[in-house]
Amino acid sequence: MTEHSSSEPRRGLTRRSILGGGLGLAAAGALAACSSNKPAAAGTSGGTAATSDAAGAAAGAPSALQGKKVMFVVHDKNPFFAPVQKGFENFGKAMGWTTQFMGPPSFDQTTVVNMMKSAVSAKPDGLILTRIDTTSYDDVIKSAIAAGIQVILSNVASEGYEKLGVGFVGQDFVPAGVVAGQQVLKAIAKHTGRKDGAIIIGKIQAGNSALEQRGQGIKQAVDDYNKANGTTFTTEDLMVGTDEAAAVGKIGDRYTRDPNSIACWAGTAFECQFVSTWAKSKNLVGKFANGGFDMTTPVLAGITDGSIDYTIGQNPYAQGWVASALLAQQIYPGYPSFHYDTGAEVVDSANVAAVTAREAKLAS
Amino acid sequence: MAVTTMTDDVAVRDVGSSPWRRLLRVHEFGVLVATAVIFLYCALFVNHFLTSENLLSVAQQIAFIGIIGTGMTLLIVAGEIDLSVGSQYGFLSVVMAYTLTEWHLPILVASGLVLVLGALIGLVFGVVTTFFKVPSFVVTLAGLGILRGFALLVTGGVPMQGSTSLRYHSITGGNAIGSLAAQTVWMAVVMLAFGWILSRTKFGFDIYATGGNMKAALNAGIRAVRVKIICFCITGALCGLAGILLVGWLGSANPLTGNGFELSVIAAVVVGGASLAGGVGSITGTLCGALVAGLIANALVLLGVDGNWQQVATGALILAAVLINRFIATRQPSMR
Amino acid sequence: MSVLEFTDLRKRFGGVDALRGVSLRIGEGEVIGLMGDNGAGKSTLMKILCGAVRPDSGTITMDGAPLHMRSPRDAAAAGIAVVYQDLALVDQRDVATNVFLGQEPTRHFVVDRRRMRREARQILEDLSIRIPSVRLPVGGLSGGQRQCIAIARAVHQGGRVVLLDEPTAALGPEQQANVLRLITRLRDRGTSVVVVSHNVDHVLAVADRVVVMRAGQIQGIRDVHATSATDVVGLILGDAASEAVSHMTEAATSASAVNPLEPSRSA
Repeated sequence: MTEHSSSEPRRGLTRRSILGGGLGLAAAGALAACSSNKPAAAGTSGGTAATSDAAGAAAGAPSALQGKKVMFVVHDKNPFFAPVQKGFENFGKAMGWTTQFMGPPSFDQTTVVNMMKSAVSAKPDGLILTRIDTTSYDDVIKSAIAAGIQVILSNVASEGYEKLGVGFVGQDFVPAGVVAGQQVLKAIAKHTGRKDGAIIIGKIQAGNSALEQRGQGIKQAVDDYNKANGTTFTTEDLMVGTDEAAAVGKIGDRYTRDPNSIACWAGTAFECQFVSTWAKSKNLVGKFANGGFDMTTPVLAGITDGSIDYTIGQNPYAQGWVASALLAQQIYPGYPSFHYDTGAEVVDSANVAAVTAREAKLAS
Repeated sequence: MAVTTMTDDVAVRDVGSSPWRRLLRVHEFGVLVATAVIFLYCALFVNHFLTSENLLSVAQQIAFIGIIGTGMTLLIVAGEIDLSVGSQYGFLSVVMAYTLTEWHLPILVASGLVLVLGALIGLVFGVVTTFFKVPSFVVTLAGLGILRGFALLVTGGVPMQGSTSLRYHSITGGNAIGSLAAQTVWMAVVMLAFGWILSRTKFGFDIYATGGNMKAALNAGIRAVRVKIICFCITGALCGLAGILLVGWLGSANPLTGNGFELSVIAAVVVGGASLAGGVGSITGTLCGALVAGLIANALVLLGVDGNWQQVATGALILAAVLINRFIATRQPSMR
Repeated sequence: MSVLEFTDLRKRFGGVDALRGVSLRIGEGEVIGLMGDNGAGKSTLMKILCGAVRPDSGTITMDGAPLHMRSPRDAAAAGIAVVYQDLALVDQRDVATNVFLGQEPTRHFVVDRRRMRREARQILEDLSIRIPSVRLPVGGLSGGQRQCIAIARAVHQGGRVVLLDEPTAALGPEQQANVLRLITRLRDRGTSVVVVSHNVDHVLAVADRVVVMRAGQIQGIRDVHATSATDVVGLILGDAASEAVSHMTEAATSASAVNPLEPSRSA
């Protein structure tokens, strides 16, 4: 009996140690699977490893720029960033760089900062970041610069970025908002000829300075128009989020509250695609104006079928390509970067076919 | 009788185990091995991993999971859960920034206020859960929405500036010694303190008893309801501490701070060997759970792997850890 | 001399008279077997004695002094401990912690685990309870061992009167024997025990007196040496049914010592 009772735990221990080892192996296996995926992912997405093949492909790049590693961290990996990534990777491919594009699946400040910190630890030669508020990302940007990494901002920079000594490739959001506001008023005149009513300024995300500034621009344009023409348009904000089903629900609820009050849905990002989905399902297309920002596939499709009146492009491809190019000249020969405005391109029924054909080149 | 002769022969082994055997027997053994294996793998195969800068950076990255996970560990061991920690953390960050910039309160006063407010939020959850017998899952799910809403209302949806005090920044977000981040030190202090409380003190023993068998605890004269409420309050206060550190570190509070954070925290606690049924879990385990998540996130970036794999790897890890815990629990009740 | 005495306890729940005037004196080191059909008032009486329910009227005295209990805490302070099966132990915690549950020895807020283990071992030995290690989680122990640990705790935590609710239910025969032996050991140490059980054989094996309740009143009190299983079953069932059952009971108990009232439990 004594022997039995003392042998019992030993058997338990063996089994447990096997289990522990199993977990460890499983975890290692998962990591191995991820890392073995790397060459394939790099191949398909255009980021090339710094191998002799890659060097051959990039024969045109000066030797001081060859074999560089460049990383791009965005605050929220949503569909908007697909062409940004494409521009970034295509430039990298042309130069023979190793590229890595990443961002959290949903926005969280700390997660973004952590991802940026890990990127700094990876010691790339260049780093492209989005800075969506005025303080949170400054420490990590400074630490990257201190570590000798060339840094440039893309897409969103927020006030005061110049004092960090970095450049920015992206839209000037307030002026872009003003351009959007002018399109709003044009579209309202076309559809309804109303002189009053609410312009609903949609938001997909709280806490993003870019969206706030575009909203400001729209309000500014509407105020100016009211003063000049004696109209009484009002503006109000509506947070819809990025989840389509939830967004459609919120849009429907706002409409139900006071259907006749709405003159226009004016998004600060790609909310107009949600409005389009909703309006088509309720047979309300044409009862009000609808528009927004960005050139994602559903938005362009909406302009083609008439459920969206306009969108304001910000040339996302340039936010990848030009940012990389400015980074390249920072690395060699070493010019400081500057602000490159990627503009506010108005897309409506007149030019949507050409724009769609252009954007389709980035789809595959 | 047969029973007497059998039991008389059973050897008494109250002190027999060597430290090594005791280590093998602990709950956290699985996650300890996983942490060690992942660490070794990274050290051998991942470039730039084994530098002090990077390791200290990982230690900083898990600080918030560690601090809030400490409260969550107490709650889960006590048989309850708080799904609102992400929203609490976000709301309290916003309140911290608001009281600093709008009310111009001194930093210490604002910090005290935020800690007390966090504890009060926990008190409300605890009281609703225990007195009105609403499962904490439901109560805190409601809290998740309410507090996120308040965070957005207070800020109007835009990030709110915090303080520009350099002293505040260096205490919360600067470096303590070399590249050792202040946040890591804060996490270490919190985890050591509550690790000691949970494993050594009467209150810690009461938490385990409450979560293991609430009726037995009540029968034994333990004030189990009060124990649960205190655990909710501690969790709320730790969310407040995380908020204070965040605002000092980043200089602003985003109303979306902690969006989805509750899942990372619960994952760390569960991977660390805690049982959602209550009565099982430890701070050491939670630290390892947070470390595993932090190491994987860091290694995938260093390896240049698509960020979406991080989600897959984290999910797979949670599943594996829970399955192993279940396997041990069913196969070896006497060794639990 | 009597340790615990209660006089004319009454309790109504809504329109139902759960207790209709119950009185009893329990002596030091006396084992009382409390029996009765479901709804006879046993559990209400137990709940009153352990402080969980307050009687509408009646008095309880301990060592001759009146006792007013507002909670189980008060009962425990007065030396009345109750052991409910499966409501007593925390499975995940070890034996020593369970013996001291809620009353761990502390030194400056820190639980003195070494002392706790040492004393737990001593308590188990005093009561001749065999457990291989006080470090084992109780979840892995047998039902009999668990019951013994629960009883050991009740005694250790100052229980001079220990109330046991179905201590042998759902146990194997060997484990039942262990628990019954432990009850007789408690009596030898001078602890008074009230055993609520449906099993006549077990009650007759350990009790000094059998108290049978029916419809909120005490139907009868018997000295175990001057009664039989048939007699007790008759009291439990009442006059009408007793005649029919008595033959069956006698036949069954003499043949296999299996209680016909509890075929599944004692099997």
